[in-house]
Amino acid sequence: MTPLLEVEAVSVRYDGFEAVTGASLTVEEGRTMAIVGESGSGKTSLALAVARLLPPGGEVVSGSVRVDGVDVTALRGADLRRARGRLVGYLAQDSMAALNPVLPAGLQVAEVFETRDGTRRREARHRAVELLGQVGIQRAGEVAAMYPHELSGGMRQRVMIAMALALRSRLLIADEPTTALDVTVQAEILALAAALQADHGVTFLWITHDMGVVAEVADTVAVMYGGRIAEQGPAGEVFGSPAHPYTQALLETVRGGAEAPPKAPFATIAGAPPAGVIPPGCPFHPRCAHAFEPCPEVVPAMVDTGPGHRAACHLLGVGR
Amino acid sequence: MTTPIVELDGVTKRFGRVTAVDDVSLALYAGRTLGVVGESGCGKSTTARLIVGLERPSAGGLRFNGTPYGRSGRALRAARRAIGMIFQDPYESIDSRFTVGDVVAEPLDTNGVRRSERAGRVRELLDAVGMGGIDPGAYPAQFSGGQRQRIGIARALALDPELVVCDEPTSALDVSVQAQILNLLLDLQRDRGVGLLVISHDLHVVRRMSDEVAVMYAGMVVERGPAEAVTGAPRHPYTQALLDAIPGTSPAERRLRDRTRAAAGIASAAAAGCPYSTRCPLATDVCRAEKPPLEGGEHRVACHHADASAA
Amino acid sequence: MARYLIVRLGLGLVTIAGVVLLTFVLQFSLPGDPARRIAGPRASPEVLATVRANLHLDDPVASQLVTYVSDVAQGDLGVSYIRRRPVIDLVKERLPATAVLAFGGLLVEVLLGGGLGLWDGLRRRRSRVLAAGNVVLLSIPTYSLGFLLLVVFAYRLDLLPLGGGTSLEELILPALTLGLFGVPYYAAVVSESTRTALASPYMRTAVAKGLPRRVILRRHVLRNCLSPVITLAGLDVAIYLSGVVFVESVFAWPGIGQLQEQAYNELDRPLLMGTVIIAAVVVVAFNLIADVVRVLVDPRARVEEAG
Repeated sequence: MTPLLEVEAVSVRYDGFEAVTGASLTVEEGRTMAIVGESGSGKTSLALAVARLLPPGGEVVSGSVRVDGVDVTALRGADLRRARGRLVGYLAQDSMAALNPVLPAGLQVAEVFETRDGTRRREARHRAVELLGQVGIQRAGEVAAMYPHELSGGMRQRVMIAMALALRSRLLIADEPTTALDVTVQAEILALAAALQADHGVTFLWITHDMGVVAEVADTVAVMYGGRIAEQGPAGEVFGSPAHPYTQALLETVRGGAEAPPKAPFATIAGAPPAGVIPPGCPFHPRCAHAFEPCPEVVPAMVDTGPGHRAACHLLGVGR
Repeated sequence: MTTPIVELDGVTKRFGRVTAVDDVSLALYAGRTLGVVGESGCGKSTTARLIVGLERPSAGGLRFNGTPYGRSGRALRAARRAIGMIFQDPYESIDSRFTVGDVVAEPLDTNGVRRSERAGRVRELLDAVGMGGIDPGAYPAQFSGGQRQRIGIARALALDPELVVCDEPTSALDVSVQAQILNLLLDLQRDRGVGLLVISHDLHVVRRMSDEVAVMYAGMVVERGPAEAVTGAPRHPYTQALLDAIPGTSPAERRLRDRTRAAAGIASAAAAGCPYSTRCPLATDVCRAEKPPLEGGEHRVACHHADASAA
Repeated sequence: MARYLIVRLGLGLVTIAGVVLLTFVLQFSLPGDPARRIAGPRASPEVLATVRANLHLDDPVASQLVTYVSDVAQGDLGVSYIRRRPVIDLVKERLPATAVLAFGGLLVEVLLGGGLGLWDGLRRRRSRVLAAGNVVLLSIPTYSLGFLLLVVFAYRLDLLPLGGGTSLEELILPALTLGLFGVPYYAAVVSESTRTALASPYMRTAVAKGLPRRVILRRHVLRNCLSPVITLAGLDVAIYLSGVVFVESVFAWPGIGQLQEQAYNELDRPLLMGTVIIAAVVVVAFNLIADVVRVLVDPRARVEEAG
């Protein structure tokens, strides 16, 4: 089976600052890959590069992105516009800001049918209401006439998902769509995403900082730190036998918490993620409990640690 | 039992027609932590603002070491001095135009601490939050979110508070930094014996930090009791729903994928009865008609069908 | 919404009442004796006394105020000293001309200002030419701009008439003068709204949906510029309708502004007060209308206003 998304050695720069360095990953059709990272990890820049939505000043300086065999980075003009949404859809974190505040929710779904499929206005409205119902919105007809600020965060995110369904996106980038939501609403949206994947075979690239969300949605995981992929592999492998000290530490903060007695200290990672200047060598070395001589100087290469499971850490080279 | 530092007795806060906090009674003790959980709009932040005196109650009373405060001048000022507050967003809550030293010393300046003691006090405070090595003349802009939150904690500690109110203290921080701040709060409580009020939407955090937990919904406390009891054996269906919504810790323990597809509707307010009755799977006629009182001994719950969901 | 409108209406009435009160007080500071103006310089003391009695000029100030306010409330703004006709009729005669000029001016500023603003907003960098033009326009007084246009187009080039009537040809120069003055404001507001819209996350959504450029422009950019333009236009219509003294006087445009100027020169107290009160009513009314339209166009305003 050929992968739906192939990212090969992609680097993203914003005037002078390299946000992503040499990221490579693949996602099989109908599967979900989660990209986990903290602020400054480059996860959002990589997602925007795949969606061709980098802000002015940001560009892919090397590497290629293929979606369904199409080189997305090479698309220009009308080809690019036609590919947008169809190949890659985008779910933003802040659904309030991502929806136009002065247009009714239903119209923002319906305009996809009108402009992309040439559907008549009435028919487009009708199909938009149908989709709103499909994503679990009750009284969809009424909701379609409401404005974004009149809807709850969970409802707005459902409207965004309905938009992606209208576009029939091959790949859907979910950029922390549940981060701003309450836990009970997050649970509903995660369940909805799983159901849509089962019904429509949607492929997800799910961006998050939350290992709990990763555990729930991911088939495969890529852990990013300081603009580089630190570790990637099947979710079970990465959670079961994490190879990179950063992944190990992140998982410790989540799993250590579940059984710890009240008021016992939390497992910590020293320091903070890099902001602006990324340390030379392995970007994690200043915070790593296991750092040794080569770490501050040499960027570690990706090493296979299992079937489809790879990590970039000098410790892995020592053992073999 | 010792006198609580702060006690809320049937406190209600209305904003126009909206009741943000509805008949809430809580007590906060030295050396102990009360965790408050609930979703956005449940009234937990307004409760925090009432306790630190940033809002005045519409009804009910607040007591600081047994003395009523909340309305009057002197008692309110005394309470404000003795209660520190840590805010959610360390970027918004710290003014970037002041030096770190000035930010930390702000409560000292407004409470007439002598100039000669000021510098030494600032050093002590920064030391206490693990920022001893920094120059107090530096500006906040050059520090990370976690460091800025430490500066905010130092400011909250400036007047040796008896109680520190923490409103979502880590939710704006990176995952790998959150634990550092929570450990700092645990250390401060152990070393100084301060009482803590930890407000969070994250049940994990609240369970680990607290002695007692209160669950809020629509302005009301719907369940309250020892942390392990509330999070381990919840009696209110809403608490159960919150616990059920927490993601699993590994792909092997997925908990949410196979939930029945929940529908989202236009929120309708419960007119007279239990505010949760519009979402509750156990709701019956009595729930829609009567608001249940918060009842029970150590582990109280406001539900007509308490314990039914645990079965 | 209804409550908000009632509050706004109430505030408007308070404003008008304030203006009425102010004009009443100010009339005492105008030079000249009203009775003598009406009766003429050679009138006998008896005639003067009769006129004074008719005008209630010898009544206590409080009772004069009551009479005045109750007259105004019934739409009676008094009789012009010079023209010997009810002020309200005089204003009504002039209103159509002023309305034509007002909408002409508005058209110029909305189309020209809005167009330039959109053009500027869609550019990667702001246009320096437009910025310079705006500064020039802002620094020329309306009066001078009117004369400049008059000299160039009517006198030198002889392309357009000098004015004095209300034909379409005669409308062009005064409308341009009025409108050009507003162009920098509209250009700035539309340019800024366009930039804000283009940089917003909802624009990213629109682009990500692969919408054609014209749909993005019409639906997602222009729609979001409407609200500030309506607010500006509401204010402008109100000001223009209440009479633009300078422009009307330069082009001899027979509108309310010209009437007001004449009333001032002739010390025609009732006419001057009448035009001021009418102006206040028009300003209040159009602000209210602009508010309502803005709320209809921008759903967010509904929430803000209700709160």
